[in-house]
Amino acid sequence: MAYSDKLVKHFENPQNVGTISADPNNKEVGTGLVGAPACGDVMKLQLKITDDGIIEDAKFKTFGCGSAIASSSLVTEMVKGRSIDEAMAISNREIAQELELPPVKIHCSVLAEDAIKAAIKDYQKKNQAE
Amino acid sequence: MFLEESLFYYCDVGIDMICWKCKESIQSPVCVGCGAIQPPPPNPDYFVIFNLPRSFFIPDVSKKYRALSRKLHPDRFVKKSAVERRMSLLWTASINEAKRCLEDPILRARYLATGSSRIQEDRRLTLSPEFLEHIFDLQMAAMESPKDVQQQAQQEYDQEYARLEDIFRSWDQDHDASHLQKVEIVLARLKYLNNIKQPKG
Repeated sequence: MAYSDKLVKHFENPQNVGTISADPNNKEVGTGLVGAPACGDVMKLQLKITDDGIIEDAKFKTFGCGSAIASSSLVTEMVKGRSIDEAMAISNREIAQELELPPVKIHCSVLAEDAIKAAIKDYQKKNQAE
Repeated sequence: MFLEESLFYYCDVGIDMICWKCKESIQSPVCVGCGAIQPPPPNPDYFVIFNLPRSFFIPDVSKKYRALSRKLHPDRFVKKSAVERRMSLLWTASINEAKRCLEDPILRARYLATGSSRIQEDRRLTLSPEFLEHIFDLQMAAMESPKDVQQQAQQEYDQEYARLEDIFRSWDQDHDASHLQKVEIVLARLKYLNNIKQPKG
């Protein structure tokens, strides 16, 4: 099974690895922590979002296979500069197509999509409370 | 006699099955009358194949497996018709798959709970955020001190595995389907913990 160049690039040189804020109450940052029970992968995605709802920064930390790491790396690049609504509209299909994921690895792209949604929901939850 | 090793679905269906070749009634994968191999059922139940009760707690199947596979092995049918050779292959594949599933407690548990040893990926399982958080923290800690964390993951794995056994012990008693609904979550937790205690690559 051959992986696409793009996937290998993201896996070997993942972009935006790390944490934006370790404080779970930081209102500028939404954190999404998701897991894939089928393979036991966990993915944490943090988004720093401005008051106008633009994603300023994205960082991830993924423990999982190459496809999961590549999917999360790609996603951090995709969401930067986008609005919340635009980011919410990103589908796993886009991610899978971009990385040319083989069928058995589609769930990695699902995980990345779930991570974006979870991070945005976390941000919205923290900011609606006021 | 075949029946010693296996009940097979021929006895299960409750209707008279007849051999496709000699038209004698049959009760085993190979006709006792003419020796013709019979077509395997489309979705054979792995427990029925080995004549075992549906339970998580089963004896070792390797002896039964060897006896069955000797009788149905393609080597025995090389001189038979193409149809019979094909049936022998199909049977052998079924037996091998059944053995692979029943031998592995994780696959066996999943088979009992979902009817398949394979993970159904479209089924979304929701694990508690606390558990995911815990797994994430363990993974982070494993980068610092892998040995300690692996040990801790092993302990938690063993606890979770004991929970799996408890579920199946209760299920053995009343065969209430509600027990089985808990199995998939426990299997998922075991998978996460397994990744930590046995890191890939």
